[in-house]
Amino acid sequence: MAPPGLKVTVKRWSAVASWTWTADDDVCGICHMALDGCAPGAAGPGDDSPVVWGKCAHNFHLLCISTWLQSKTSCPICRRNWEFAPSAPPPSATLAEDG
Amino acid sequence: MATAASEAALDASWNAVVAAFARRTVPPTPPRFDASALGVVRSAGAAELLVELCTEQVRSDIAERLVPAFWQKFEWARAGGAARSPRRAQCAFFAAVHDIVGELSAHAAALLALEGQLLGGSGAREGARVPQLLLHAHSLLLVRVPPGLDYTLLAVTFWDQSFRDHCAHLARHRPRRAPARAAEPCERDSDGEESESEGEEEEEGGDGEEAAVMDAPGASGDGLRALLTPAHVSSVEAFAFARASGASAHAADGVPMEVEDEGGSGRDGRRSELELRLAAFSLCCAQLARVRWTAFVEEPLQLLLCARLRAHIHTTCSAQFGRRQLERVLGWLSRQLLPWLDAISAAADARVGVGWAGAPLPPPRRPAPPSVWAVRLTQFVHETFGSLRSAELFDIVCDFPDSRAALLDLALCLRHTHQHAQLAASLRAALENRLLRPGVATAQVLQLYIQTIQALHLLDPTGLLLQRVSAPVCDYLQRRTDTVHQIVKSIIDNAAAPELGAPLLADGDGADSDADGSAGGGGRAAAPLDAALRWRPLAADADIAGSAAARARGDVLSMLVSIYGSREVFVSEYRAMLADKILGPAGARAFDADHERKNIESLKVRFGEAALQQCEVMLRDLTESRRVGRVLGEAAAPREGTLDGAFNVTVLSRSCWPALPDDEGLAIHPTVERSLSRFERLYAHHKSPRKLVWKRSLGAVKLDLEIGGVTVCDVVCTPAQATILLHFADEGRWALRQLAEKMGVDATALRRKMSHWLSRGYLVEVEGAAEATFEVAAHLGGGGQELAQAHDDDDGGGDAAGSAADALEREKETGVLTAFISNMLTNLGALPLSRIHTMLKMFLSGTRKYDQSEAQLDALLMRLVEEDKLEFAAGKFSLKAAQT
Repeated sequence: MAPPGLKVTVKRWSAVASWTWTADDDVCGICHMALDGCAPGAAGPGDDSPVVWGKCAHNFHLLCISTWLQSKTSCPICRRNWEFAPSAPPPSATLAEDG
Repeated sequence: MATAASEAALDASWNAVVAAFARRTVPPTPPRFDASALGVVRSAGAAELLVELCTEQVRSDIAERLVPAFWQKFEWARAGGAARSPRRAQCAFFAAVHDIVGELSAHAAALLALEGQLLGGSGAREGARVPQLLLHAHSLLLVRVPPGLDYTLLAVTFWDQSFRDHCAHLARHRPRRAPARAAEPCERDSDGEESESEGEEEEEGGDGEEAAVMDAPGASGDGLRALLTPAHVSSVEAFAFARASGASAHAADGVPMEVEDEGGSGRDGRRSELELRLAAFSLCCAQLARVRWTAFVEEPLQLLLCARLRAHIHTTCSAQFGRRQLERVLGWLSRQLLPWLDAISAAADARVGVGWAGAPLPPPRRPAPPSVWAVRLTQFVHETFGSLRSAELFDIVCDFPDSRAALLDLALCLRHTHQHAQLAASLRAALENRLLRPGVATAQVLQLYIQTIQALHLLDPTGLLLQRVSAPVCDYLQRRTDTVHQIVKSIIDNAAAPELGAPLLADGDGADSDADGSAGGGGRAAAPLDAALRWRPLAADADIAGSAAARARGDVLSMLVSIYGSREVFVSEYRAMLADKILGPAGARAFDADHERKNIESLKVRFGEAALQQCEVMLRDLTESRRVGRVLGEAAAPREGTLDGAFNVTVLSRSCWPALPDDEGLAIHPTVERSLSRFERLYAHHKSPRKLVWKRSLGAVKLDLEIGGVTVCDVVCTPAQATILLHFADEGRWALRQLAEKMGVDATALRRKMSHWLSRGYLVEVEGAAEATFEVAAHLGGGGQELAQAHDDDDGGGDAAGSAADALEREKETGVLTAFISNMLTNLGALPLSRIHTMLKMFLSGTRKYDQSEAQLDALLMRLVEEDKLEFAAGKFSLKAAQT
């Protein structure tokens, strides 16, 4: 094998990624828009259209479920009583595993 | 015996009368008939017979002598001679007319006298014979034009020469202007008595010069005196003197027949050549009018006038779009042509030196009065000018902001002539012939279309003209694939190309204030356009339907968008461009977000907030990514084996971006991969409950590389290409198959990506190897030159390879989707877009996951409709009837 005659120095690497919620569903069960898209009436996706988890493991746009909860108290999909889960399921990889 | 005696008396009387009748003189003096002889004839009841006989004599004299003699004078002019020596033709024409009219006058005078004295007012046909004879002579003249002689040309030449004389005369008698103007060639009379140099008006320079030349017979010997017999000359001089000495009652009719007899030479003074010619012309006109030879007069005259006007218009106006021309042409008409016509008309009225003494003829028939001519010629000017400009309209449009004057002229013509149909047809043909060609760039087509819209709006504010012209251009632009791209690009690049961008942005109803800001760079081009575009039609037009109203407003952008009929297509194209720009090789760093935000604001005005919300989100993603990158960069301690400072990530909101290609399982070089996963973990921690999905094939890399001691700086490439290089930096030689495995792509795709480096000579294929194998080049060929070239090529090369791969990918995906959609529609009938979208989302999962946005699906469905596979009606898609 010839000795490597090439030396590469990376000066800048602009990577591209898209974000998504760590949720099982793709679309909000109420508005049928993508969870990582825009809830109806929201200014934009992401921070402007937050997603919430219920204890029943169903997730919706916060805006959508709030509107729903004004008239009902059940989950619109499984009809169980709706309770907010305290937080999202823990992400699969944590900082502790780093390295 | 008595009868014999009376017969002899009658015979003698008869002969005496006939002999007296035959003794005509020119100029005419009424013949003296012996009263007793007349009495004998009358008492014998032969008066009528005698008059008839005399008339017959005159008739045969006309046929056998006068008419041949008339044409005899033009023997030399056969086969185009008249055109070769116009001056001679003029003189010959004058002489011929002068002679024949003289003869005819003599005949007429004699006949009238005979009628008067012999019939004594009792004859039934008294007074009718002379006009009949004149008419007869006129017809004979026209019928007996010798073969090979172009009479019309001859007559036109005659009029033409006279007109030149007239122009020269006008030029001479015009009040002197500034001395600087007096630089024209000198006019010199044949006599050399006077030489004047008078500057012609600039715009009439052509005629002035001509006139000056025509007025200088000089050595060629074509002066009037040389060409005419002394008898003719003296006749003309007598006529001129008669007019000049006030015998004419027409001194005030606008024809300044000034006499320049210096030194009071009076009647004997030799008049200038020009004056003589003018006098000859007037005399000729008067004579023609006297014998009422109208066909001799009007037809060639009209021909000449039209030819003159056409020539004048074509020489002074064609391709001159910068100034108003129509007014000048009309001015020329009223200053030069109409006075001449006045002169002709006045000459026809003249009673000096022609006619037959005391003849009780009805007033001479004149050419149409000047006012009729003026109207007729003005109309002709408008028509000719309109036709000229119509034919030139394409060029006018090309010059547009600078050719406003020409358009205003044309608009004025159209108001008179209503040549709209001709104009639309000619512009349409010109556009099709000259613009809608494969070789013309779309940007140019668009640019010209925009100018057409603006130009025609100036011409016809109702927009109907534009409607007729624009159809082929719109059809054509629709067929070009990059039209939307170009329109959007022209909006975005408006700083670089103000003449295109400014009108696009500047003409929105509510956009004025905003446009002033964004189009500020285009100052020069924008100012007149703004003025033009602010113009609004009258309120009467206000209730036209939407698109027509847009057309009437000259709303360029609406017109352009209406090529496609849908704003969504337009906006999604803009989105695609924005994405390309942000993710392009220059990278997010170089991206000018402020400028883009401004563009989005201007587009919002046109398309509404909602349509551009996604684009706004794209920009927000960009700033958010920078912020997150900063925060995470601070949070994480630098670590070995990663690309710390050099690494940045753009995090996208998937739903708002155009379709991004999948990763194709591309494995980035481990060094970078470590950075990626580190960032991913940090992000997941920081922004929980969100996570990242890498788009490894997207993005841009800038690197320095060193081969065989030569360094190449700042090479920009795609991540895949960079990974290839990094692998080759680790190991100098790779088999294609091995590397493909390592990078998780198939061998053909890898070879395509490698070709970027192969073409630059950084990598070379190893010859004679069992399988395709590549290694690092031993040295670089060009060194410094290579560097520059590498910079140039990188942008395009990398992109093209990438997009080709993307297209392939998309094609595969589309095939699956199409099959799925057609099955769905077979089972469920017609469905609306949103329904199809949801169903695809529901059913397509697993390996072939459906991840397109609704707009993308719409584009796909529309393409299928275009390909005749689907039908679209009432908001629902269905299978084409024939296929079901």
